[in-house]
Amino acid sequence: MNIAAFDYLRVLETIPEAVVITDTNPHIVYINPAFEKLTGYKLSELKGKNPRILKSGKTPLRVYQKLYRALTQGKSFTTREVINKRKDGSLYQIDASYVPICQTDKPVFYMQIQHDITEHKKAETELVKRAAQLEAVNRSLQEEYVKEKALLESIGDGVIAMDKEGKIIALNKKTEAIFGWKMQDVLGKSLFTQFKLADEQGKIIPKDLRPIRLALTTAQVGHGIYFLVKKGTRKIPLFITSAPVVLDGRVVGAVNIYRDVSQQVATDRAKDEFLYFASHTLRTPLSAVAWSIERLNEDNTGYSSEQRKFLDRIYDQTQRMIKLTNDLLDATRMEFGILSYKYEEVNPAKIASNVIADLKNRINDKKIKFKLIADKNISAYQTYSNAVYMILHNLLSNAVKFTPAGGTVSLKISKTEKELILQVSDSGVGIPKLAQGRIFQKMYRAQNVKDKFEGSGLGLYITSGIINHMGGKITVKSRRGQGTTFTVMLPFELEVIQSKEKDRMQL
Amino acid sequence: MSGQTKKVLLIEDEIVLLELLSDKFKDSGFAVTTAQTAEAGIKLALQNHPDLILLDVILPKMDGLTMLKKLRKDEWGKGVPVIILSNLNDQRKVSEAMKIGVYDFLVKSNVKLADVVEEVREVLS
Repeated sequence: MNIAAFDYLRVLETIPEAVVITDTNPHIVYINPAFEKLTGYKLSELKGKNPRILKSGKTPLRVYQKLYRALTQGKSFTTREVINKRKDGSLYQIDASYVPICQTDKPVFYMQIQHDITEHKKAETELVKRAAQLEAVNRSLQEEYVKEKALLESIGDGVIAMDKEGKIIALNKKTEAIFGWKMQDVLGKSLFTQFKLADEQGKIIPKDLRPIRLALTTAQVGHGIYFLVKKGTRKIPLFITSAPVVLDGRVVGAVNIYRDVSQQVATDRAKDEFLYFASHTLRTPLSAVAWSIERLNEDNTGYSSEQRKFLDRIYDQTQRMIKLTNDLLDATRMEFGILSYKYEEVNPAKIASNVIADLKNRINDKKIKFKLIADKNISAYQTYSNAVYMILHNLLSNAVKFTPAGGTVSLKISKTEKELILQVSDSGVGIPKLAQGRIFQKMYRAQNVKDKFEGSGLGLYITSGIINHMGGKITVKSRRGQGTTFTVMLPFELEVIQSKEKDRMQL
Repeated sequence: MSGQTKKVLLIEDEIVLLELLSDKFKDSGFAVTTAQTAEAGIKLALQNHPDLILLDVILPKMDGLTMLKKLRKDEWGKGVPVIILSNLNDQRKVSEAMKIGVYDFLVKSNVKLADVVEEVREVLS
C-alpha cells in the first residue's frame, strides 16, 4: 500500500490523544472520538464553532499570544499551561501541541493534539506542596536541634542523657569538663563504669544506691550531694539530680544533671565551723566562769561589800557575754537559713507560761505587775514551737528590761480567723518616733536605751526574722516615756520550709 | 535526800567543768563517778549502773550521742535516765538526742549548777 494514499483521518479516529482541527477562521472542522470522550462534546455540536468555546479563562493570556505568534509564522507550538473547559463546565489541563497544516507554505488547517494532564498536574502540585511541607518540617527540626543543642551547651551544669540500661547517649561540654572526658570516648558506654561516687567520708556509693538507679527503676527523681572520686585529684562535691524519661508510661532512660557545689560545700563547712566555734568553743569558758562564781556565791560570808560588788559584776558581765553569744548564734543561724524550727502541735498559752516561768526571777526582782490574758478558745495547733518561744521570750524580756521597777507588763493572746495575735505591752521607757522604723535592723539600738541598758541590738532583728520566716507580721506602737506595745500576727497555716535543712542533712 | 545515796555518772571532757560539776554534786549528797571520754563513760556505766548519767555531746573520739545509742542497746542501759549537758545546742542535735531517748537537753551556759542538781533530783525522786 502506498503510504501517500493512506487515510490519515482514520488514524486520528483510533489514537488515544484528543485531536481537534480548525480552519483558519478559525472554525472547528473536526474532533476525534478521544476528544469527544475528553470534553463530552459531539462533533456535531462543535462543527463550525469557534474553538474559544473550549476556553476556561484560566489559561494565562501570554500562552495564547505565543501560540498566535507561532501559528501565524507557520510554526508548531507546545504548551502544558492551557486549561480548558468541558461541556459540563469542569476544567481540565492539557499538554497541547498546535500544528499548522500547510498547503504551499500557507496554513490551511490547524491541528491541536491534546493530552489530559489534570491528574498528573494535581499530583505534581501535591508533590510540590509536600516538598514545601517537608522543607518546613526539616527547617524547624534543624532550628529545634540547634536551639536544643545551644540550650544544652549553655547550661552551666553537666547534663548526661542515658537509655534505660544507663548507657550514655548524649552529654554537654560542661560534663566533659567536670569528668575530664571526651564525648566520643564515653558515648554508648554505661554510666556506672565511667566514674565512682563516694559519700563525704570517702566511702564508695554502691551501684544500686546511686540516684540514677532510683530514676531508672522507680521512675522517681533522685537527688543529693555526692562526691566524685577522680584519680589524683581531690573529691569534687556534686549535686546530682537524676530524672527519669518516661514515654507512654514506661521509663526509657534518664537525664542526669551534675552541679559542681565545691563553693557551697566550702561555705557550708565554714558556717558549721563558725557555729561550732561560737556555740561550743566560746561558751565553754563562759560556763566555767559562771559556774565558778555561782560556787563562790554559795557561801556569802567572808567577802567585803566591795568584793561582793566585784563578784556580782563579774557574774553579770559573764551572763551578758553568754547572752551576746546566744544572740549571735541565733542571728547567724537565722541569716544562714539554718535556724532549725521544731514543728509540733502546741498551745501558744503553754509556750507563754514557759517563757513567763523563765523570766519569773527578773519579773519578781523588779516587782513588775505581770498580766496574762489568753483567749480560752485557742487550742493547740501545728506550729514552730521553738520559734514562738523565741518570739515571746525576746519581746517579754525586752518589756521587763525596759520597764522601771513596779511597772506593768502584759501579754495578750488572741486570734482572728487565720492568725494568732500576740500582744506584748509595757509601761516602760518607750521608743522614740524616729527610732521606731529602725528597731528591727541588725545591731540598731535606740538613743534613749543605748547607754542605760545592756543589749546586743540583735533581739528584735532575730524576732522579726523569725516572724518573717513564718509569714507573719510585727508592728510597734509606742510613745516615749509612756510604754510600748508590740503586736505579732502569725498565720495558723504555715508553709513548712525544711528543704534547705534537708539538703544539708544529706551531706 | 532520803534513803540510799544516789549515784550519778558525769561524762565531760573539759576538766574545769567536770570538777565544778563533780564538786557540786558531791556537796549536794550524790555519789559521783566521772569520765572524760565516751569510751570510759560507757564502761563505767555498764559496770557501776549509776542512777543517772549527765552526758556531754562533744567528746574526744566517740561523741556523746553515739555513746548514748550504744548504751540504749544494753539491757540495763536502755532504761537509765540520761540528761544531755552540752553547749552545742543545734536543734538537729537536740532532736537527735530526743529521738534516741534522753530526759532533757540542757545548755551549759544557760543553766546554773543549782538548776542541774535540781533537775537531777526531780528525775530521781
